[in-house]
Amino acid sequence: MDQGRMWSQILLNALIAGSTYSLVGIGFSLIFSPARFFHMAHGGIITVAGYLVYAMAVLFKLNHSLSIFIALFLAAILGSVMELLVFRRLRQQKGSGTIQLIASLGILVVLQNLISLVFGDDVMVLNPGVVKEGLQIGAARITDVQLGIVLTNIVVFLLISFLLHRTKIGWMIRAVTDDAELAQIFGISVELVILLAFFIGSAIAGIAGILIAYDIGLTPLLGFQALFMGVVAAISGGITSPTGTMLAGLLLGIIMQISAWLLPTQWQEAIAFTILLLFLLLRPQGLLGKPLRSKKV
Amino acid sequence: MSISFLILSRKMAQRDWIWVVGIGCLILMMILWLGSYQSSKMPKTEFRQLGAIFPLTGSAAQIGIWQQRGIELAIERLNQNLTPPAKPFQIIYEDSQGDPKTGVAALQKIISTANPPVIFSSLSSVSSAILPILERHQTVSLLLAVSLPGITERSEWTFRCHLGSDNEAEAMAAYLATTPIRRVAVAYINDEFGVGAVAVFRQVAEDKKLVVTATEAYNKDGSDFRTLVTKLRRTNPEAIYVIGYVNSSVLLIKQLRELGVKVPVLGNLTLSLPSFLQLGGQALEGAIFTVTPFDVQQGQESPELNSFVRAYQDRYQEEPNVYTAFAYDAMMMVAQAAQNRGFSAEGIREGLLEIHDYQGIMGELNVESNGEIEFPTRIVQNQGGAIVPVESSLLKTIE
Repeated sequence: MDQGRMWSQILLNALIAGSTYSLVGIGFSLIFSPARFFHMAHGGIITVAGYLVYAMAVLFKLNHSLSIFIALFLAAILGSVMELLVFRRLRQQKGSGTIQLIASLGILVVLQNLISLVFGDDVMVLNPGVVKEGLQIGAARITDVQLGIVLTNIVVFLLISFLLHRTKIGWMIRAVTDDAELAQIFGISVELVILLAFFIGSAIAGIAGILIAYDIGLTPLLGFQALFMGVVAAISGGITSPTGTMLAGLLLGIIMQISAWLLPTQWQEAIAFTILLLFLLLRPQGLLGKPLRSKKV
Repeated sequence: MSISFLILSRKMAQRDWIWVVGIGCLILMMILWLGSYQSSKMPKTEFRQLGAIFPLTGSAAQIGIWQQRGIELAIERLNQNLTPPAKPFQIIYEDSQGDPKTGVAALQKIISTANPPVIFSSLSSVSSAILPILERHQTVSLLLAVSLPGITERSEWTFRCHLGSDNEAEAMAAYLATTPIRRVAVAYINDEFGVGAVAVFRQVAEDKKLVVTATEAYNKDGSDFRTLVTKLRRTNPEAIYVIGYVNSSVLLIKQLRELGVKVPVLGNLTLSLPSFLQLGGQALEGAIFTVTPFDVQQGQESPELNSFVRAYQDRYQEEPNVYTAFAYDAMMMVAQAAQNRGFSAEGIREGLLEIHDYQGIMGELNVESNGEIEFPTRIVQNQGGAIVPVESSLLKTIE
C-alpha cells in the first residue's frame, strides 16, 4: 500500500468520523444555545432513534424509508416531551443548569437501561449479514452509508445556518441565546424558543443516531459514545456556533485519525479529552464562539 | 382525616416536605435493613452454595448468559438426582459487566454473604483481578472463558475449563505453517486475554518462520476501526488474525471488508459462534477459526450429550454451544469432586485433581496437576454460516 493511498484513506476516515462528531455537536449546541445546560439525554435520543428504526424496519419489516421518517419524528417528539415535562418544570422551580444537567443525565441512564432491557446488550444491525465493499474515491474507499453521513452533515449544517440567520425562528433562537431576559422584554416567548430548539436539535440527534446505526450497528451505549465526541466538537468549536462546531468536528476527526495512525488506537479517547482540556484552558469560548455571559432563563 | 391532611399540607412549606420525605426514606431504609437482618437470622433451606461471577450485562454479556445456562442445566440435573442427606446445589450469580473492578466488588459481595468454597469466573481480565483474593481466602476458582496462558500456575486453587489462548495461537500458527501464507497481521482486543494471546502467537509464529507484519490493539467498546484497518493493510499481510470475543471484533472484520481488504480472516474460538457468524454475515464468509470439538450432532452416539442438547433446546429454543458445554461440564466435575471429597474448598480442590477419564459432554476429560483441563484443538472454516473442517487448499486469498 503506497503512502498516497494510505493518507487519502486516513483523510477520508477523518472526514467520516468528523462528520459524525459535527452532526451530533450541531444538534447538541442548538439545544444548549437557548436552554443553557448540558443536555446529556441528547445521547439517549441518538440511541432511541436507531433502535426505533431497528424495531420498525427489521423486527416489523416496515419499509426502511418510512421507518426512518417515523423514527425522526418520534425522536423530535421525545426531545420536546423531555423539555416540557422535565426541564421546563425545573426552570420554573429556579433549577440551575447543574440541576438540569443531572436530570438530563438521569434520563440518559434510564433510556439506556430501558433499551438494554428491551433489546439486550448485543450489537443489532440494520442490514443483517450484508457487507458492501466501499465505493472507490480516488485511492480510498467509502461505503454508501458513510457517504450519506458526510453529505447529511453538510446539508444539516447549511439548513441550520439558514434557519439561524435567515428565518424568524432563527432570529428568535439567537436573541434568546444572546440575552433571554431582553428577548422576553421584546415579546419573544423564551419557552417556545427553547421547545423549538429541543424539537429541531432532537431531530438532528435522530438523524445522527440512524446514520451511525446503519454504519456500525446499534448498542445501548451508542448515543453516549457519540455524544461525548459531539460535545467535544461543540465546546472546541464554540458551543453556540454551528460553523465552529462543524469545523471543530472535522478537525477532531483529522486529529483522532492521525493520532490513531501514529499511536496505538486505544489512545484515541485520551486524545479527545486532551483536546477538550486544551480548549477549556486556552480558549474556553472555542474556535468561533463568543464568551458566554451567565444568564438565567 | 383527609381534610386535616390537606390543611396540614398547605401549612407546610416546601422545605418541610423535603424533611418529611428525607426522614421517611431513612425510616424505610432502617425497616429494610432490620428485615434483612432478621431474615438472615431465620432458618433457611439448606443449600450447597457456589458463586459465579459472569458478564451478564455489557459487551460480553452473551458469553455470561451461555455459561449461566450451562450451569443451571447442570444444577437442575444434579438436584433432581440428589440422594439424601445431600443438600441441593445453589449458585449465587454476580454480574462483572466484563470489568475487572466490578468483578472484584462482585467477589467481595459473594464472599461476605455466602463465602462459598468454589467460584466460577469468566473472562481473562476479570479472573486475573479476582485470583489473588480467592488465593487469600483459599477458595477454589474454576475459570471459564479464560484463555490467558499459564493462569492456573498463579494459584494452587485455580482450575480452568476452557481452551487456552496459547493452545489456540499455537494451533493457528501450526496450521498456517502448512499453507502458502507467510505474512500475518494481528488485531487483538486490548485486555489480558488479547495481550496474552498475541504474545503467544507472535512467539509461535516466529518459531514456525511466519512473519507477523503488525500487531494492533483495539478497544472492546470501540466501533471505528477504519484507521486500524488501514494500518494493518499497509503492512501487506496475506492473512489477518483477529483475536477477540466481543461484537466489536466482528465490526472490525466488517470494516476490513468494507475497505476492500480481501485476505483471509483468522479468528479464535469465540468468533466462530453462531451469533457472531450471523452478525458478521458475508464479512466472515470463509473465515478460519480454532475451535475445540463440540458437535451437537454427535449426540446420537453420546447419551449424556444427547440428553443435554435436548434439555437445552427445550428450554432455550436454540442449539447449545461450546461455552454452555464448558460450564456444564465444569459444574458436573465440581459436583463429583464434592461427592468424593466433601463439600469444602480443600475437599473440592483435592477431588478435582483426582478427576481422570471423566466422561463429560465435551468428551473424556482429565484434570492435570496444574489445574488445567486439556481440550484438543482443530481448525475449521465458516462456509455459508456452517462450520466445516478446513483444508489447506481452501485457504487462499478471496477473489
